[in-house]
Amino acid sequence: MLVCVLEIPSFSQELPSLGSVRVIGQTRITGEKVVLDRKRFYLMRGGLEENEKLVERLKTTEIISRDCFYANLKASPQFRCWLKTEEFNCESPYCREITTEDVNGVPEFLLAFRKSLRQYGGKSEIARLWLTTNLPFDLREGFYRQQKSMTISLLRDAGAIQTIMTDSILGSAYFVDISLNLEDADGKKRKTETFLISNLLPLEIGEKSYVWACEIEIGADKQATLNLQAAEKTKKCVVVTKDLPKCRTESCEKSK
Amino acid sequence: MTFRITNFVKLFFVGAMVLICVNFIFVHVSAQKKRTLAEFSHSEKAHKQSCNSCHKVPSRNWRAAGDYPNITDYPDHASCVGCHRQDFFVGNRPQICTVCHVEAAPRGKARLRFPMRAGSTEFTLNFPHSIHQDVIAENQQSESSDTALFVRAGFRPEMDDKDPKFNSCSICHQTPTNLPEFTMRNPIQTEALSQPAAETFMPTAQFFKNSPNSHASCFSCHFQGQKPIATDCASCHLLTSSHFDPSTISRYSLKFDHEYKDHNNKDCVTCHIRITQNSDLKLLVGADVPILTCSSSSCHGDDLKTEMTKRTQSLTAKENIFQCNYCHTSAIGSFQIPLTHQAIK
Repeated sequence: MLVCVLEIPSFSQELPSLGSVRVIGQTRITGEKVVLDRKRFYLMRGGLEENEKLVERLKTTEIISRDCFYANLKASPQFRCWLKTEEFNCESPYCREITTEDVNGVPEFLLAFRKSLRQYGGKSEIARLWLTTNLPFDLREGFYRQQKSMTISLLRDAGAIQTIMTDSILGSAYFVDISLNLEDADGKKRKTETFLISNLLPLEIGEKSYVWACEIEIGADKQATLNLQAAEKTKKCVVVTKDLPKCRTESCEKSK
Repeated sequence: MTFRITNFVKLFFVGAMVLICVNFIFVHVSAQKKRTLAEFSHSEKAHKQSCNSCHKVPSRNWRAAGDYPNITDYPDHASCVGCHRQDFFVGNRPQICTVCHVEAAPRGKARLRFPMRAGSTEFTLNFPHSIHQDVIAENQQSESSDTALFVRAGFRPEMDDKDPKFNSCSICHQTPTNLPEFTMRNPIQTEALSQPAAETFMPTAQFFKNSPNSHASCFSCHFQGQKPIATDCASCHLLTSSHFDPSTISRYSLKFDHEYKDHNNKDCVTCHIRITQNSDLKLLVGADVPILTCSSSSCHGDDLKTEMTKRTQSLTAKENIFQCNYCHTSAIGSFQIPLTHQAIK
């Protein structure tokens, strides 16, 4: 006779503790309000101490700024000005629609437009709207590729558990459904777990770049809030501020 | 004892024979149900080749058939005759013709509409929102204002007269002009506590956002150069049954109006907070808008708390179950409160 012993699973399992945190990217830099809109942030387990290596990398890694990247590519001043106007702050030509005026004003766009016109049966509207399909690789996606490989390199052993992007109005974003480990090494219960929030890639604001790495306590009872401040003395935050190298050309400044 | 063993062996053999017969019938019937030549399937082993071995991008007739270089027609006969030459000459009405043609006849030139929407469930779509958010996110400079900083939620930023354009999302998702097909999204981890009450609520088109149903949104960047390019069909169209019905919008909160004045002035990612980290559409299994985006605002926080209280009170008093109706229609409002709603505090 075969005797089977079945282990009946317990249905009284404790529900997982989940937490959430709101990141608010509104700060004042040299007296002016700055909204950190459309910026990506990462959430890591552990605080500044546990993520010491990552924080060190954030401090020491040199990153080529957007202006320098395109200057090194020898992109025309008009192209670089198109990226960075009073109204827009673009990292690539995908950022916004390229208008007819832009086509006529930016040499790279005009060249791509002409190629597209030939290729797409002389349909000028398609040639304009699909213009990026005839832009050189580096102009099109080079900066994104650089940023991506830098992110991977910075994260290395850090292991981000979530990533989010702030909205375009308030510069605010939520990390939600964060699985919390509310037991310490001795098995004692605790109310919160420590996490680190960082944008990893420097944000270019004015003439400087900024990287935040901020410690935050997240519990299951209440939504945590992280206000990002520019001051380096911010409690439990490391704010890496660097001067941006001067890569904008005089003609670009003039044509703005 | 010996008798019992003999009977057991007989029983075993009879059982085995029955299984073999059932298996044979199943296989035989299945074989009979095998697709006919008129029913084309991309899943057929011989059809699993590179997509551009049959589909030419763009089709020769794209100028006449559409506004942009696209796949606008069925592959040519050359794609089929390699294996199916003899099938083209079976009788007066070769079955194979009806894969593409309206009429099964050698001279029947009229073709079925392309693409055949009914067949679209053979594929599912792979679209990483996360990458697209990074690459195309419009980075509009926020205007400096003197409003107080760090006000907790309940935001109603003053907008200028121009409607804000949240370009990165609206490239693909716009308000439909006609009421689309919609349905309630079925909660998977909770049960209905009562029969849903009679429902009179009916949303209008502006409650919804549509999704791309053509290559127009993709090819403007991906036609060539930016990978995956137009000829890499399989990078976006995965040969596996679709995890959702693209022709029907399913929602938990049917009463949410996207165009309401205090909704349409917000960036999409203010509420769709998971979308910027979503790398694969099929991973969007829960609500894409977690309730805390509404419950932590001063606009809806109190209303949602009231709903939760009413439900709890009705359960405690063992009265008729209160059906949540602030966001939901009764079909959803009659369900148990899910764990996700614990965020309402």
